[in-house]
Amino acid sequence: MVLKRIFSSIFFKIFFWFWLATILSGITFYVLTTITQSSTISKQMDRLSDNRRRLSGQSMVYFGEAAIRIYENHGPEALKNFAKNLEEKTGIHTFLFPGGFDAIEGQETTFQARVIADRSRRSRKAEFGAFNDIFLVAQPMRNQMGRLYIVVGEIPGTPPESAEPFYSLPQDFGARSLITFIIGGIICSGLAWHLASPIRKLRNATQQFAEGDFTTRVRPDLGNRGDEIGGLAREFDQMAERIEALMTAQKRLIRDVSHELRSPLARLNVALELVRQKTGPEAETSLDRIKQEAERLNEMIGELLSLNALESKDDITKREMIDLDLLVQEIVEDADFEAHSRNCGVRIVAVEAVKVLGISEMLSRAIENVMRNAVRYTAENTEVEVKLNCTHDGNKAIAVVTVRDHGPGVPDNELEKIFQPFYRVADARDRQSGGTGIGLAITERAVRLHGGEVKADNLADGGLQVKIFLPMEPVS
Amino acid sequence: MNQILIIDDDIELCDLLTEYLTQEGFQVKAVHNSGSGIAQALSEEATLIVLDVMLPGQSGFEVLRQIREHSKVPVVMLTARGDEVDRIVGLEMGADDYLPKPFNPRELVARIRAIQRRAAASQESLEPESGKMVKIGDVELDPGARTVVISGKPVELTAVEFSMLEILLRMAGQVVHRETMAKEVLGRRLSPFDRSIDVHVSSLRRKIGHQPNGSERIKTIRGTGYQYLLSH
Repeated sequence: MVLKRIFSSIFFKIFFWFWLATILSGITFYVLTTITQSSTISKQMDRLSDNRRRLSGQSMVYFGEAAIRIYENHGPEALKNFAKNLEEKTGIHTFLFPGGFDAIEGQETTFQARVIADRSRRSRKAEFGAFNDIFLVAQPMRNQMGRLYIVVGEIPGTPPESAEPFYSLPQDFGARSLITFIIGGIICSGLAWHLASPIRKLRNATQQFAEGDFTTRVRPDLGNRGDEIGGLAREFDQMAERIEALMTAQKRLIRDVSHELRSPLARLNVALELVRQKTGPEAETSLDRIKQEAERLNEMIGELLSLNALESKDDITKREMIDLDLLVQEIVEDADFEAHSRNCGVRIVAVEAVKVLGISEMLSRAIENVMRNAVRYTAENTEVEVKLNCTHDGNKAIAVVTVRDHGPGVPDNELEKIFQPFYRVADARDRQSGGTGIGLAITERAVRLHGGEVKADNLADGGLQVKIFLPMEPVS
Repeated sequence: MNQILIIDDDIELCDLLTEYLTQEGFQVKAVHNSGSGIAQALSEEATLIVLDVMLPGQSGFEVLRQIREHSKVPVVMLTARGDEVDRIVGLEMGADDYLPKPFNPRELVARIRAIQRRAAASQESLEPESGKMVKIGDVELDPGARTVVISGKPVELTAVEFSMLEILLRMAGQVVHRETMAKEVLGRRLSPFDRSIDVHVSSLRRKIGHQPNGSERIKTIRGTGYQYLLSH
C-alpha cells in the first residue's frame, strides 16, 4: 500500500524515468561505440592482413625468381648459400620445392613449410598461414620451361593473422558503470526533488487551507522560483488572500448583524416588563407569550453567533487535553436540573475516563446542545440516558458520547438533515417544544473541527440516539 | 441615597430602564458616554453602577478601570452575550457581576438587590465585632478591612472574589457547594448552565496563584463545588 504510493509519486516518477533514460543512453552509446569501433578495427585488421599477404607474396616472387635461377644454374649448394644469406639479412627462412614437393639436397625443410607447400601445390594459388608466431607464405611459380616450383617463406614475429572484434570488456567495467550510475542517480534525484518538493508543499498548503486555516500562504517558501511552480505559488497566495478576505468580511457581517439585533431585543425586554408593571393579571399570559418569542429570537441570535464563530480554525492554539468524562458529568447535572421542570431527568448510564485534545468550550457546547435537545423531546417521566466509552476503529482510539432519549425520534430520511442549520423536523415547528434549529448544527461543526463526527439513529424501542465520535489522539 | 447610575449609550434603553427601575423603588441616573460616566461615578452619588461594555470611544473596561482606581462602588456589567472574554476580563478588573444583553430586567433587579444586601452585610460587619481574621497557611484575610495578604504581599481582589475567598478559607479543607457560593456571594440562585461562579473562581485563582510549594490552592470538585486545599 505504502509502496504503491511511493511508486506513483511524482518524485519517484521523475527520478526513476530520468535515471533509466540516462542509464540506457549510456549503455546504448557504449554498445554502439564498441560495435563500430570493433568493426572499424576488424576492417583495419583485414586490410592490414591483406596488405601483408600481398607484400609477402610479392617478395616471395622476387626471391623465387632468384632462387629458381640459382638452383637451376648453380645447383643446391648455391641455393643453400643464397637462402642462408637472405635469412641472415632479413630473418626470413626460405624454401624451394621443385614440383611442389620434391626435396632438395642440403635443404632442411620444416614440417609447416611442407604442409603449406603441399597446400599451394594443390590449389595452385598462393597460400598463407600462421604457425606459432610465424607467418607462412607459399607462392607457386614456374620457370622458363613451365616447370612448377613452390616457394615458401617463414616470416617470424608477425602478429596473429586473424583479428577478432573486441567484444571483451575493458577493465573495471563493474566499478566504472557503478560510479556512473550513482552519479546519474544523484543528479536525477536532485532534479526530481527540485520538482516534486514544491508540489508537495503546495499540496500541504492547500490541505491546510481547506481545513480552515485561511492564513496559509506559500509565497515565502515557493514564490521566488522563476518557473511555472513559482507562478502557481504566487497565484495560490492571491487566491488565499481573496478567500480569507471574503470569509472575514462575511463573519464580520454576521457578527455585526447579530449584535445589532440585540439592541432592539434588549429594549423590548425592558418595555415588556414595564407593561407588566402597569397591567394586571389579565395581561399575564399574553405578556408571557411575547416574552417567550423574544427569548427565542435571542437564543437564535446567540446560536447564530456561535455557529459563525466556529467557521475558522483560529482557535487552534487554545487546544488542551480535556477530561471528557468530567465535562460530560457537569453537563449532565445541569441538563438534569433543567429536565426536572418537565418531570424528566438525565443520567449517566456508563462512563469511562477519557481524554481528548480540543477546546473545552466548544465541546461543552456541542454536547450540551445534544442533551438539551434530548431533554426537550423525551417523553414526560422518562430519563435521558448518557454513555461515554472508548472504541477503536482499526487505526486509532475514538471516544463515543451517546445520548439517548425516549421521544418520538426523527424520520429516517431526516436523520442526517437535522444537523443542518435551521432544519426542524416537520412537526417540531408546530409544537411548542422550543429549540431553534441551530443547536445541532453547532454540534456538528464543533465536532467536525475536532476531527470527529456526529450521527443520529432511531432506536427500536423508541427514541432518538445521538452519538458523538471524537478522536482521542491529537487532531492534526 | 440609593442611587443607581446607568452608563450605556443606548438612550432609549436607558429611558426604559430608568422607568422600570424607578417603579421598583430605585433612584436612577443615566449617562450615555464614558466621559460623563467616569465623572458621575467618581462624584460618589451612586451606590451601584450598571455599566455597558460596548461604549463608544473608551470601552466599558476602560471606564471600569478608571472607576476602580478611586472607588470600590459595586459595578454590574452588561456584556455582549456569549463573549467569554468580556465576562472574565470584566470580573478580573473588578466588576461584581455581569448580565448578558439582552437581559431580563427582573434578573437585573434581583442582582442589584443581591449586591446591595451583601454591601449592607459587610457594612454591619464593620461594627464592633469586626473581622475575625482568617489565617490559613500563608493567607491572611481581614474581613473588616477587606484586605488579603498572601506570603506577606497584599493582593487586590474584587468584592465578589474577596467574599468567595473568605468562604473557601473559612471552610478550608472542606468542599463548598456551588449553590452555597452563589447564594452567599452573589446573593442569588444559579440558573442551569450559568457559569458565573466558575468564572469568578478562575479569576480568583489567577490572582492568588499557587501555594509556596507549587501546588494549587483551590481545587475543583466536579459536580459539587470548590475546596481550598490545606497544604501540609
